[in-house]
Amino acid sequence: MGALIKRDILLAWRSGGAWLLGVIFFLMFITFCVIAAGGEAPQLDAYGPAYIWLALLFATLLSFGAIFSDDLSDGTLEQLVLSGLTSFSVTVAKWIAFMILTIGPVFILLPVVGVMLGLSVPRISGQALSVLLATPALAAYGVMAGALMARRGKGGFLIILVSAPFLIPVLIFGLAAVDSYTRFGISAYEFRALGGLSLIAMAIGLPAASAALTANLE
Amino acid sequence: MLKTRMDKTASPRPETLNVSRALATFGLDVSDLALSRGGHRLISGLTLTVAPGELLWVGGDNGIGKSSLLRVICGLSRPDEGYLGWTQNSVPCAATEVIAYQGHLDAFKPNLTSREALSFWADVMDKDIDVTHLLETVGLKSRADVPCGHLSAGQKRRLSLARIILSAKPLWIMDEPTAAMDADGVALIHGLIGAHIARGGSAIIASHQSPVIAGLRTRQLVLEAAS
Repeated sequence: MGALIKRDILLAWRSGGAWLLGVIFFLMFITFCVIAAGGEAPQLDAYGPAYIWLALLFATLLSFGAIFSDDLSDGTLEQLVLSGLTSFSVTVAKWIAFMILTIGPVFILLPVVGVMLGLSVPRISGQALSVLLATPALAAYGVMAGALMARRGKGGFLIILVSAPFLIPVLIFGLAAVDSYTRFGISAYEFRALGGLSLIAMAIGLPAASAALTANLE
Repeated sequence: MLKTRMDKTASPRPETLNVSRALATFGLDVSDLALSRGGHRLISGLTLTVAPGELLWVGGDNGIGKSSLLRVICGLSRPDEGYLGWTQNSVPCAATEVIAYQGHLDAFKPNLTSREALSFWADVMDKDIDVTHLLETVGLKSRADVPCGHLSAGQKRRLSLARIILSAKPLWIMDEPTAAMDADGVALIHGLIGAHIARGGSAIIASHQSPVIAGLRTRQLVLEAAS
């Protein structure tokens, strides 16, 4: 499992920047939002967290299709399974790699983007915390959708339809958490809800992804 | 930095390419197997056993079901009906414990070098081996640091052969192992299969021409379309 994560990181490093697609998209989306909103400070302050959340969701949605499609189409998955790895451990490795490679860079850029949008420090902290708590959920639904749609290759719109319903609660609580943080801090109930959503996502998404992979290998 | 981390598994211990170490005894039992692909029945009523030291050649026309049969034997896809069992030391076990598979797909990433690719698979299989020596065995020593994307089709087959050796599994399942191979490559494959069988391993090979391996009797399974 560790070997697979290490290999994914090495492949990302060698991919000539392809792995940065998500984070570049994230930055472009925010920039367009700022331009579209007219760049007025009060509006940016009000809608900033929403822009960030939307940009994050779209950036991750964009990357779901690539999670398993290469490894399935070039035979790596069947060799991994024959090497004695269970499809569940392959799924968990991909889940961890997705958090590191796709959500990680976005998370690191969050404070910068927050400052760009003129958000106050508590709102930036709330934003970072809500994204952190939602990351396992985003990645778990990502590997689930990626595994279900692995045979369809990259760029299928179905993958967006499959994952969108699962991401909506994450978006709702993620946004609410940013506002609540400024009033109640970390004890805001939305953070517990987000943590709960992440646990549910892991409980549903990871086994479902593993089952989908097994089915896809046939 | 990442590169050295990948390479770490390659360095520590030299020469554990256990070509001479005896393999665990194993068995493959197939009875009344039926399988289909895309709703079309390919094989029915197949009964077959493979014991240590045997070479089984699976022949037949294109599309007759050779590859599908091999995938079923590997446990990668399920048969429609029938029994399929793998044993190790007379105890039933999972297919993954006894089977090494070389399919049509090479499963190597174009951006990793041959050495990195083998190190990765050694890591996955939890094997501690000398990758350089393994590459030498399959005649790829000079290509060790070439990205897999720059290898020819035959060289990729050699690399996947190295992965089979690396797995140290007793039953080799090979789909067209000599496809895209030069004469040296064919001799290499046959030599390695011969050595594998000599130490108690077995191989099931699907190809158009029966492999001729010196000193080995080949069992044949020729699939024919039902008339």
